[in-house]
Amino acid sequence: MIFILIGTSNAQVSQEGLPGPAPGLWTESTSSFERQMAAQESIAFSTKEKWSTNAVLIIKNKTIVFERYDNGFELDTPQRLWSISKSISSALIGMRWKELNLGLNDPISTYYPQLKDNSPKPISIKNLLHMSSGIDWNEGYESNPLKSDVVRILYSDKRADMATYKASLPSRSLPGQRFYYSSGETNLLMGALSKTFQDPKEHEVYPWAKLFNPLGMTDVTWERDGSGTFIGSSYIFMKARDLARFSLLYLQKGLWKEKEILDKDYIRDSLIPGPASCLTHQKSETQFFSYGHHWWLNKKCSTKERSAFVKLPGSTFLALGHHGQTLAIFPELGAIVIRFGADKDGNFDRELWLNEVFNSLKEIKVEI
Amino acid sequence: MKFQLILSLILLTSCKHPIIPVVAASFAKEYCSCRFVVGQTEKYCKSYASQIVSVSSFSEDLNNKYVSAAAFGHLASSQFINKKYGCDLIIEKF
Repeated sequence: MIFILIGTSNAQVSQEGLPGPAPGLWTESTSSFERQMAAQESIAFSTKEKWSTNAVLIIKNKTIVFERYDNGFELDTPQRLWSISKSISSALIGMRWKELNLGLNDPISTYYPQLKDNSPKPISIKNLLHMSSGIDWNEGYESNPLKSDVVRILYSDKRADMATYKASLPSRSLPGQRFYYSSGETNLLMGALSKTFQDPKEHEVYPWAKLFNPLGMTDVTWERDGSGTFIGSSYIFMKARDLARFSLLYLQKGLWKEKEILDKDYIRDSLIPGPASCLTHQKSETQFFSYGHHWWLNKKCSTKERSAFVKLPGSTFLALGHHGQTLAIFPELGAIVIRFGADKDGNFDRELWLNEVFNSLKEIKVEI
Repeated sequence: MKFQLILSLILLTSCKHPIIPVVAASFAKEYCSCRFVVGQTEKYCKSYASQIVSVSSFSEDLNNKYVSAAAFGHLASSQFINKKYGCDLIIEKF
């Protein structure tokens, strides 16, 4: 077990051998926050549960205030992001559609013409970012494997071309009317992304060239389907600290070393609840969240409603994945909170843990 | 519960339900990524990749970073490509 209370220097070299950002992106704290962090630690690393936590990284104002790895995972171990991958996919869609001067109302049928016949109304890139295309889907892993489309795309012949499979399914509702969380929507977006490149080699390196390398994120793995499309729904692997770099890009409104990596307006719009997520009563743990461009939002849709995590600010935005993978960003505190674990049954109590983390972070004073 | 699931799977196997090959495929894929992308131990990865119903057999070739698994008459393999693109899944049938 490795237990680090304060940040360490992290001089890094990018995957392409190019120098990454200057060493010490994260400040080394001169204080120990052991006392403030004890409550959240006892929840996250409880030994009484069937699930386990492999990593927790908590950063405030670029200062690492807590970092701990367990179960054979270490600082440099790539972690499975599962559906946290979706938020990274969203960033790439935002970058590419801006580069091409295409608005988010761009119809997906431009890339998958079969959808013209399947859908009663054009489905836009924005509809897909909001998980509201209306195209049929059955999400669910272990809970309902016999009917799960996500199991089919990840582990059956549908893996050959996930986007084309999604595009072949019938529509169940008008675009923008009904929220349904679907890995198929993300992979359809990633299929469209691949079709924006004439040269497949340019597509193969795009995430590294435009996002991972500029941010100094090293050793990122992104698995692809049989057609070479990045599996945006599920299969990015990266170190906890590299996910923190990605998160910092959002806190910095798209700027990195004074250069715009991601359009600030895209980030702003990503954190506004999509209309369909406010119209649709969701089942499951995420029922009170609103949903932006592939981000879970703690914003209320109206004053009459409750937020998902009532003790956390409405500005909190999250990326959540299978096995209790959690990324929470508290903009007011300049804080990034990351947890990776192994929890097939989804029993890790994120809300309880995040409440403790948030209360602790309010107490901790670190200079900006 | 487990008995009912196994019984269901036997019935599904007999009617060739498309979900059946998934048991071996999910194990092979997740085990491959666990071992060769994440770099975890055999013991950890075997547990991580296993579902309610286990595979009947599996093998790994550490030199070639290749995993194969069998369940319900179906064989699936997964090959580590490189650090950037991780593991790929190859589904076969006996």
